[in-house]
Amino acid sequence: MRRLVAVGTMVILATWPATGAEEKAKGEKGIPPEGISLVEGSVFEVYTPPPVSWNEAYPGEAPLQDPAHPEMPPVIPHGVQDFLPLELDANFCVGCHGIEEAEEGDPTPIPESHYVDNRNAPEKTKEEIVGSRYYCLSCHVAQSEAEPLVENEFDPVKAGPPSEKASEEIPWQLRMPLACFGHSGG
Amino acid sequence: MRNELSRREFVKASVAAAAALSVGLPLPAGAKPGDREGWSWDKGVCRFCGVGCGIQVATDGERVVAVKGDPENPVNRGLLCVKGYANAQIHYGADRLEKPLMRMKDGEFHKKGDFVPVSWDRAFDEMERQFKRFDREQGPTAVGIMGSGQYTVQEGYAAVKLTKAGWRSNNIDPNARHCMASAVAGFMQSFGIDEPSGCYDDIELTDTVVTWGANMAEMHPMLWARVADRRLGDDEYRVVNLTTFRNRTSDLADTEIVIAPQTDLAVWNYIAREIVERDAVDREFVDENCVFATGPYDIGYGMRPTDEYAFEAEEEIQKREEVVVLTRAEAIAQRKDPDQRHVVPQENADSAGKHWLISFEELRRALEPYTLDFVAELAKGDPEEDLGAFKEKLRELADLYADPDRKVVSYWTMGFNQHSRGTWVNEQAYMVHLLTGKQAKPGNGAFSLTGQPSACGTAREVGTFAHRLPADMVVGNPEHRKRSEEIWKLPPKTLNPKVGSHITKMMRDLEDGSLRWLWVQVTNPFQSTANANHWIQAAREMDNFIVVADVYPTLSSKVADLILPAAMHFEKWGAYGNSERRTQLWRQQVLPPGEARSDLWQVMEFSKRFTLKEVWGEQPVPGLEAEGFEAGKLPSVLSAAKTMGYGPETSLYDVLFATEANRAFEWPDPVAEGHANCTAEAAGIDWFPEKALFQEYVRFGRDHYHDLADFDVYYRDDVRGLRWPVRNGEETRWRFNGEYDPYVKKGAGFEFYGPALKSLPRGDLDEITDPEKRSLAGKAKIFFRPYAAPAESPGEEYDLWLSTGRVLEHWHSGTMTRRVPELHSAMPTALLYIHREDAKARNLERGDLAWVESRRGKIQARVETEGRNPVPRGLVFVPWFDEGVFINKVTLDATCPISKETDFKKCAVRVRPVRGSDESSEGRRS
Repeated sequence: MRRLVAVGTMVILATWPATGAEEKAKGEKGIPPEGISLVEGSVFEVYTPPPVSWNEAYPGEAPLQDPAHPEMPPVIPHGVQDFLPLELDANFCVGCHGIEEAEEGDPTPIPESHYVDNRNAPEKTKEEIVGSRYYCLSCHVAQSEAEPLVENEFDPVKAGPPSEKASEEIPWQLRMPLACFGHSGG
Repeated sequence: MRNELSRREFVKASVAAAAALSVGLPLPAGAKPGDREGWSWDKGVCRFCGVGCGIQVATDGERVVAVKGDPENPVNRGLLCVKGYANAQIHYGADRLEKPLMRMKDGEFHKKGDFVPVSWDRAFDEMERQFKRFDREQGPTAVGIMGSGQYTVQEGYAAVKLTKAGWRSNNIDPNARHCMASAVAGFMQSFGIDEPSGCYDDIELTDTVVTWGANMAEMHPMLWARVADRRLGDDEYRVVNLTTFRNRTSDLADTEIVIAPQTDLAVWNYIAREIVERDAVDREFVDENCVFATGPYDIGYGMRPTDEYAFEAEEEIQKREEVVVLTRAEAIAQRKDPDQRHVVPQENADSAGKHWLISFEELRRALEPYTLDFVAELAKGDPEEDLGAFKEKLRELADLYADPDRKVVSYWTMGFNQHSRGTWVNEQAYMVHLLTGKQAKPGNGAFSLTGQPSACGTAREVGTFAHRLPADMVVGNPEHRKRSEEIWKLPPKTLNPKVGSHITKMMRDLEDGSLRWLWVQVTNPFQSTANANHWIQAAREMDNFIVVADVYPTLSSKVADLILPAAMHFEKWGAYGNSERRTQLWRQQVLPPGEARSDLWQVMEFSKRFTLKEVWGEQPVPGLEAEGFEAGKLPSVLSAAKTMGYGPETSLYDVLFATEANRAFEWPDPVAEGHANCTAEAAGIDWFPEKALFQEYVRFGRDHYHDLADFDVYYRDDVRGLRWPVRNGEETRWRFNGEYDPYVKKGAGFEFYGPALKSLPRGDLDEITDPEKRSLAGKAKIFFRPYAAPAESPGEEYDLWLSTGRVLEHWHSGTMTRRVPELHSAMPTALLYIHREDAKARNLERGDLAWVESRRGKIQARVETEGRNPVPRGLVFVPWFDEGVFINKVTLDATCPISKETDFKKCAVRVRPVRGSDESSEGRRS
């Protein structure tokens, strides 16, 4: 994932006095309020939301995305509008994904966990997907082309003690979104 | 270009073919994701909604690395929704706040300055200086805290203690005011005690679920999973979704009933009328356990009584606070001649909650106008639906409630609670459930679903409201103040008897200058309060000081003067209480980043800045009138304090937090099993604040219907939270029911023992006729409440209804979920859901940019004519999670006059395309 750091921010931060002495320093440049949070600009202005480009790929067209952590349900790698709504007597998700095992090019099979009724019969594997897992959209979400508003540093593989992170000595401002800096206020 | 229609047909055909082949095939032998080496797992609770799912959280050293559903937890049995799985990622947005930031110029605080990192000492110095300046000028009502339904129990408890016992201000009110205050008022008035009688087990035990203004499929997904499981496994199980627009809950519902906004009031009365007319009343249950009541109708809309601060365009609506001309439907619904003009001064705006006993015959008379014909015509919400078909649905709904052999659970969320008659509509649900004897029984009950993880456990039960003290007690009651003063070891008359400002009023107070110093904790009120243009202006342009503590920079931090970096969910110890009275505690898993500190540490540390002589001397409180108090002031309690061993120089920290009893809870504690405590460590103390304060708090509820277990019990391996009251180690599933609730008198089948508001005069439908008060101990009240028109309805100029709400992916103001890539990508911006025909009539197409404009403000949003919320003609829906699509600039701050909860579901707007020239000419100050 890209690191959302603007070159321009380096200039501002370079002039920032070191931690501890900052409040005593005179005439330093702070972060304009317009530049913090997820949306650039003053709260008095009207923001123009960007257009949304939904993933409308046909099943199988787009690659699978790795889940953020091993327990996370996979996101849906294709468009869903053609398959919705899920109804009592029509579940197109199960229709395609309810397969025994997948060969290359097949839909991702629904895992065994989805055939076990944790509440009423946890020891048994059922023939059909359990009712509590039937509404797939509670856990599996379709995606758009929208880029993250701010980087997320969650990484179960690289996880380590905080000292490791601290040693990088990246001030938090450097990790702010692009919108945080260089904003003219206009 | 693709041919959409043929593609869809092709897909459906091929999917159907594949489905036919795959149904019933043996299982896939998919690999199950396993634990990584070195990860350690502990139980926890989800950070998001009020369902309170149990989670297992994995850490690797000092990082949260994974979460999964806790199979041992009966709430969710191992499942989580997509937000639940994001409980790990929400800690790691790259812009976590790690140092206090203050607006400064030339090295000094400056209201118009930019944000500069400062030390905690410097931050607290400025907070203290500003606090004392305003407190000296105006007294303790000039300061306040906006709290949260996301507070841990201990954070909320500490905040309420500092505000009420320390500063003697009652200006503390949570964002939960916006989400379930109407449920609270409904509980208090109907049952004399807060929180539901039933529990989630009802989902498995009932055979009918009716959702009223509750899109459970998106907002309470793991409860919805339980409903879906039952529905799919039982053909007799029925699900009805009653809503103002189609949503995902309709997908698995047997019946969808789309009603016009506000007409739920009429639909309930139609059902009650049917029950009475069909003689479907459970006489035995009602005779033994219930009384009938009503109250005034002329109660206003919770708006400011003056238009002094109204924008010019707002004045027309603002005037309805004083005088209302009844609509034809209102006249009929209120037993008046519909052909006459009825001009009604809103005389009971300040006494909206008063009520009196009536007879069953009076109730029957009041329900008489609510015939199927009248209600169906008023309530039909989709102009394209046939009236006959709609009537049939209403009749079927009445059949379900009236059937003595059918168990029914009614669920509601914001559609009811965010309602200018929110208290009434809650009470109407109890009316129908009590009339039919379908309350407080397994599988039967009316149940308010909560939005936030501890709106129940903290905001309500701890009492972080302007009028409350812990365990349902209130500041206006001398006995309650006395009991609280005893537990808190305060001199008599320390506590302020005058109710403080609710959260919306605090915003209004900022604007009129009566509130000058504000500390925002665990919430984002400048995004979440309706009619926001007023409040952001007041915050930025007036002489006041606003502190916002949060984990990430938010819209509210943009209008703050000082931003404090807070610890996130698993970076601190905590406790949450969910919608079914289940209290769940967790251990701190990792350290907060940088200099971020727990909210509890912040409150305790700031309390060191006050000596008793600064806060416990005589204090002005404008408008204070209470027995034993001189008008307009709080007495000095310093000499009484001295006899209790507190000197004038003693700090609030020593009196409120580091008490001898609290310091006896040693840190480290064996229950920690090696986990750290950022609060104790940052404070440099050898006692355990989270445990000490929890144990102090539980004293309020024990033997007062709210018993919690001891702190350590909740950490036992075999415990996944416990539903209070917990008596003799046993939780309670159905309150007021003699079979289950230890508080019910032996031998009584049911006892509605809630003590509040249980002595009433008697009257008819219009007024009190016999002022002598009668005790109704042990009884629940069946209220008659009429239909009343909304504060603002669409008309010529603003011709569409606007409803706001949530989406599955983003929890509330999106401050955490929008930093999770998968959630952001799934719902990157708040869309304007509008009917295709309404869009077309305004020259708009899907994806176009539109203005959404009301008398109060305007915003831009992208048009959506498809997707998950196919709204009927005449209504648009805009979610409020997106700080860019700042829809609360558009909404109206009318509230239920009883609960003071804002109606975010109804106001009038117009929609038009954004043209190229708009950006420069109109795109700025809105």
